[in-house]
Amino acid sequence: MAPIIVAQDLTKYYNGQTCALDHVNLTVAPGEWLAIMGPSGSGKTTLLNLIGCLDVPNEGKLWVAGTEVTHLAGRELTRFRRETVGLIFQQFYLVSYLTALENVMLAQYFHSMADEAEARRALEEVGLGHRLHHLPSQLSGGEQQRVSIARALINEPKLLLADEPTGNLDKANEDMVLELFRKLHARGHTIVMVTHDPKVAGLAGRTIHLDHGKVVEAVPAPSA
Amino acid sequence: MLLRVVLKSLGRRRLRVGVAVLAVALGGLLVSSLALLSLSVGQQSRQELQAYGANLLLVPETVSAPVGLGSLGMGTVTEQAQLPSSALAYLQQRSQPVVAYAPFVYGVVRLPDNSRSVVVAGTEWDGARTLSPWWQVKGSWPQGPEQVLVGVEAVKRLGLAPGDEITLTGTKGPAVFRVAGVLNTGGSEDSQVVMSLGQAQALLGRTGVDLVLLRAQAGGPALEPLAKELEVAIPGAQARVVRQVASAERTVVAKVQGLMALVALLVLAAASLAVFSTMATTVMERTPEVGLMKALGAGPGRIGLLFTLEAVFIGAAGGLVGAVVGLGVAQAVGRSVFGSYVPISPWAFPLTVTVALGVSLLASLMPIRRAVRIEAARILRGE
Repeated sequence: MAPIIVAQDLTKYYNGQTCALDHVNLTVAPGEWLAIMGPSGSGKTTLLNLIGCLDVPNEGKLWVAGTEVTHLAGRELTRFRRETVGLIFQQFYLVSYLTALENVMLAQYFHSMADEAEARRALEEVGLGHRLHHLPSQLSGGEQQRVSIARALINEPKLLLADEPTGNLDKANEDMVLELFRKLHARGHTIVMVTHDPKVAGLAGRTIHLDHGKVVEAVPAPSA
Repeated sequence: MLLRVVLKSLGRRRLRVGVAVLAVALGGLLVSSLALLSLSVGQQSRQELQAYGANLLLVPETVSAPVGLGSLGMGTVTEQAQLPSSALAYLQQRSQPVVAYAPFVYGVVRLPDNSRSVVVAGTEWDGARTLSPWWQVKGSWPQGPEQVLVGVEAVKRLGLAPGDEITLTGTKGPAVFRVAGVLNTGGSEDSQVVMSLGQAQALLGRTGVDLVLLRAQAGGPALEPLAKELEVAIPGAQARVVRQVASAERTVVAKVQGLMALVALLVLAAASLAVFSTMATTVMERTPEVGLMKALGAGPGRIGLLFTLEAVFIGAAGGLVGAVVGLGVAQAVGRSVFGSYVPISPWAFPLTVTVALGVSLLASLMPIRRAVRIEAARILRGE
């Protein structure tokens, strides 16, 4: 099966001089769970942003779901992102004045059309059927992260990108969220997850370590 | 969904949005009330300015001819002409736009001691009082034909007081009058004895009048054609527009309307600053939210539309409140300043809402541009 992500010599500079990513090569197969580890400033989030089409590289080539995204810009890149990628963040980034249900519907609205019944089902799947009309401030950290997972999944993306999804959670909530990721992976979702936590990375099929923008280690070796 | 987001976002920032709506409402209030007042101020001011006297003068056409002997010039002789009494008959039967007129006849009469003389002015009391509302009378206005007003200077010179009798000798012999009141006008009348037109004509042996002061409703530019019309209708009459009063009407109305526009502009500028501040703060506070929306796939159009709708809400709400309150303010001002209600113009309401919307959208332009340019990646990196 063709890889879902192929990065060739992917390089990103900030302010024209700070090298955040230095000629990174990477291949991710469909259905794979990849963990990206590394110290702060090693380029993990930058790599995730490039794969998620939130940013563009200065050098190198990147294919996501068979499309060379380095050729895309502006509206095309935005359209590709909303149709291909689901994003989960450490800080959840829920809209504070919208309910859990509306936060999920917002992603539907920007994708195509809001469908309340579908959004309700997505929240029920992450165990929040009883918290549909609660504001983020009325939800625990774990619940907020589960809303954000439901939001990321609502448009059935080919690729799920998570940046430290358990970084702000206590142990109980972390376990709950990781269990959710395990189920998603079991259902065939491709997951690329940035994490500091070796235990979380241990759940992934493969882990790569970044340091100073370079891949310094890959465990275990990707299967061809 | 978008509308739900807009309404919830506005609802969450009730206080700040309320202040912006209030600022736009104040601007709208002024636009609404000043537009309504501006419309009526022309008419009302003209009515008020009628208090400042005549705007047309009717005088007899004078015929002058150079005189001399051979090459020796001896100046010109001018015929002492009068307006015929038929002129008054014409004015009496003519209605609009002449709203009031006052004929005047002048002559010099002698006092009983024969060594002193005084100028007598004859007029029609009603017309004179309408056209000269600044005339002040100490005592009472004349009630009968033998009663006269004596100017404040003439009273001093002749040693008279209200109730005194005065004998005046004109070309038709002496006649006795009673001083009804002392007249103070600040003008030439202060040195004259003013009596009814009939009495003066009888005393002076005249049938016509020397001049007629007129007040025409037309005001301003329409006075010229009226003057020409009067000259045609009254043979031997020359009609002159009293420039000061006519142009004062136009100047006062233009200045009042200009002042109103200036005040409205200043308040609108202040309102736009308030909206700008609200929208700029909103965009700044909601930068992570906008970054998230962009990460979720919102294009610049959707983000622009989101903030534009908020600006439209602020403008429309402020405009509607301003238009309604402005209507009330215009009526209150009209009642207290002009003593009458201001006519309601059908376009004052849509004009106010349109102006308020325009101010709100213009003031929001820069913050909206900033929101549209927010980069998702930078925000999500925590920059």
